[in-house]
Amino acid sequence: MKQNSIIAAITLSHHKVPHSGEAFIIEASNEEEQYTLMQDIAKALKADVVKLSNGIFILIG
Amino acid sequence: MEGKNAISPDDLMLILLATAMGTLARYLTLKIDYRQYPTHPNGSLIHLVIAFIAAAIGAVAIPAIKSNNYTAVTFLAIAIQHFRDVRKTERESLKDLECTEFTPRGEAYIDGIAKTFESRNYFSLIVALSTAATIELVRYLGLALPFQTAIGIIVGYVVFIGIRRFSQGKTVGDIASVKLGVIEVRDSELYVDGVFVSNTIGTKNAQKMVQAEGLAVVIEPLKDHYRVTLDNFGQRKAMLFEATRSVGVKRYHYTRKDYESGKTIIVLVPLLQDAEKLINIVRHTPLLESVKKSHSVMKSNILGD
Repeated sequence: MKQNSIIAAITLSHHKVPHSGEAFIIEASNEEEQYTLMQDIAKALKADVVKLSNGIFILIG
Repeated sequence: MEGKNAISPDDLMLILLATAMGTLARYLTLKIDYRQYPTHPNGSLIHLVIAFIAAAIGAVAIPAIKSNNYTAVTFLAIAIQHFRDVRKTERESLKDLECTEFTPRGEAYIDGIAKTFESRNYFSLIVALSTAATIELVRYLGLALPFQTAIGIIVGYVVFIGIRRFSQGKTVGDIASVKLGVIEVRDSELYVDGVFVSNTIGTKNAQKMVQAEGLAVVIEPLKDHYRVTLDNFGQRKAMLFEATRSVGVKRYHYTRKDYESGKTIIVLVPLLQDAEKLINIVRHTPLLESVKKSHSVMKSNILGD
């Protein structure tokens, strides 16, 4: 059953995320890598993906 | 068993006929249950056997009273306790299955199904009891055995029709219009008929899949006060459950309320691309007893339309 918690966030170098809680954060070097990483994790965890308006991808599972 | 303690052929016929009528009553309602709880054949067999026992208890009550054995009537109280256990067992069983379904039924739906299963056993008991009482009454009036049997069956059947209509609930289609909605994906946001549903389709694959294969159903209440029922979380879970079970879920399923228009929206990417089936199943989702707040929804239709 869905728990709706944030599993991970895929950020870029200019994003500042001071506290991540239980979610882990991956910083990608560019947008292409960010998208690929997001897809890799989303597929593995069967997570839903939210793209924030500032470009951060959040994975929800 | 000989002598005055032996059961008379008349009483034996009465008990057998009333038991058969009670069991038949359960069998006829089991077809309705099939959609709600499709364990076949073993689930059906369990309920038929329980119904047979319920019917037998109802059938022997009249001969027992007739033979001054009033304590035998206490069996009815034991039966009621037993039927409550049936409800409890059903609830536990359905709860255990929750994590195996596409989407959970939800507590409210499970409660409704469990209550229905309990009440169906009373069908058997009441039909058997009324059949037995009628046969005894007709016999007392001095009519022949074929008349006793025929009138007993007729009365049993009429009682069955009456209580079935009384207990029959309404469906979503009675209080709302159900139609297909137009899916629109704007970047990572999903809209149906212009109403925002979700923004959890951040990947291009997801956006493509939802746009190409997604099905959306829009449920609009026929009257404003029906929103209280339709907006209920348990009711929405029940609709989503029925929708996902009928056409399957490939990926993604959402429900959304639109507070402005009162619409409830269901979106999913189904395994079977059958929009008509999806609409039908949502339309026929039962209105849960626990969420009925309107008097017009609560009315039972005993005499038919």
